[in-house]
Amino acid sequence: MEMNKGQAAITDALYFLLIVMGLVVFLFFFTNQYGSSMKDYMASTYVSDYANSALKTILYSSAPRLPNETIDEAKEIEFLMTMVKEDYAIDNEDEGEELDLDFSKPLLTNNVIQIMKPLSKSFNYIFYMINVGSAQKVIYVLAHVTEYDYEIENRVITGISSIDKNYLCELTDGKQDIDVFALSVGASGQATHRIRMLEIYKPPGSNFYELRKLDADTIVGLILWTPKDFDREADEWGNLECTDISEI
Amino acid sequence: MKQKAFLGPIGDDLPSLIPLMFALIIFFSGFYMAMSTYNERGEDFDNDLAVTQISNALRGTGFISGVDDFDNLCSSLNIQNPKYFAALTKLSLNPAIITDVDIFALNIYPENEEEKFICTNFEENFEEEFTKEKVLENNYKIVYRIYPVVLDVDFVVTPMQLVVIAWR
Repeated sequence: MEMNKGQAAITDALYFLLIVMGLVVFLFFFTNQYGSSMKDYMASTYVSDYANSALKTILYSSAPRLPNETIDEAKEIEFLMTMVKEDYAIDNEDEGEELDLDFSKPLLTNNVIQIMKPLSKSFNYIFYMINVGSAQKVIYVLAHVTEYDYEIENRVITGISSIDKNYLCELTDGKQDIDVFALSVGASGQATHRIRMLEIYKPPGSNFYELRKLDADTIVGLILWTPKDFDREADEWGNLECTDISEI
Repeated sequence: MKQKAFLGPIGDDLPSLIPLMFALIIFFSGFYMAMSTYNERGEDFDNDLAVTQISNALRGTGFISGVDDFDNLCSSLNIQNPKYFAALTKLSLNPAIITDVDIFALNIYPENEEEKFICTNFEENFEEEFTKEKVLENNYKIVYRIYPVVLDVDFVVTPMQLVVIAWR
């Protein structure tokens, strides 16, 4: 018994060291992971809150009636959405006429880009207005996308540059195209709101035209995602049928 | 021969004390590291939560009808720690004007009037006390968020930015 006394003490100490190292490794992984889900949650809450606030700001804000005026110096001011609804009603009056929102489109584009500016460096987004009636009429779609350019030397990437671009899109299959695209890029936050567009009609027995609400809702939505490179040739992007604003 | 391994109480226990001490040092260092990370992240979350709470209260429905409305929303807050400062800054819709927010040089709305859209629990002069130098000197942990909101200015619904800064 006495012969093994020294060995037993050192073996106990080594076991103790082993247990402690196991505990410390556990602690290390625990502290490394601690709060990461909370951090992700806070970040996604911020993105969703921002999307909601931005959508409200776009929907509520006023804009100058006359082009090339700023809101501070404008002689006549109207709600931006009222102007969009008026344009929509006028464009729809003649069947077959293209829905181009002549007057309000540049104002809407400018408002969306400026309101989204604080987040536009770290997030890409798509803003859309789609009538969800039977025809699923696409009223307006703006996509802000980061494009990457790779410098490759001897099959090794030696540099990456990126540029942010704004696109106006037409969509092939309506809202479904946006849903598929959002799924492919992984949306970080989104917000939607329903509004009613207007149409021009002539009440029976009246000589005057009036505006009335359409039966079907229009969904106004904003989807944000973290910038990432994606296949420009793939259907997810191709079906959006986007045109660079600088080329319009 | 039988007593060869027995070197005496100290001779036997001294070698075992080395891994024992080593284990204790590793354990307490690991424990200290875990506690400091826990506290550090806890402070970050407190700042994050405070900013979220302040911004939710001040944004309300996203529509601010004036200074009184903003002050009412502000008075609903009861946050002592961390220190915070929230203000409205103008969001220019003119693409030619750069509207990047510099938290150390905020253009608080309205620029030339005394009654500004400010909500804070910081009793000192924010512009004088919250400078880059003082932040670095005191090693403040800062969290800030920007939200678009609309403000009714004489029946013109103007897009604005709500900037919320919290630090400790």
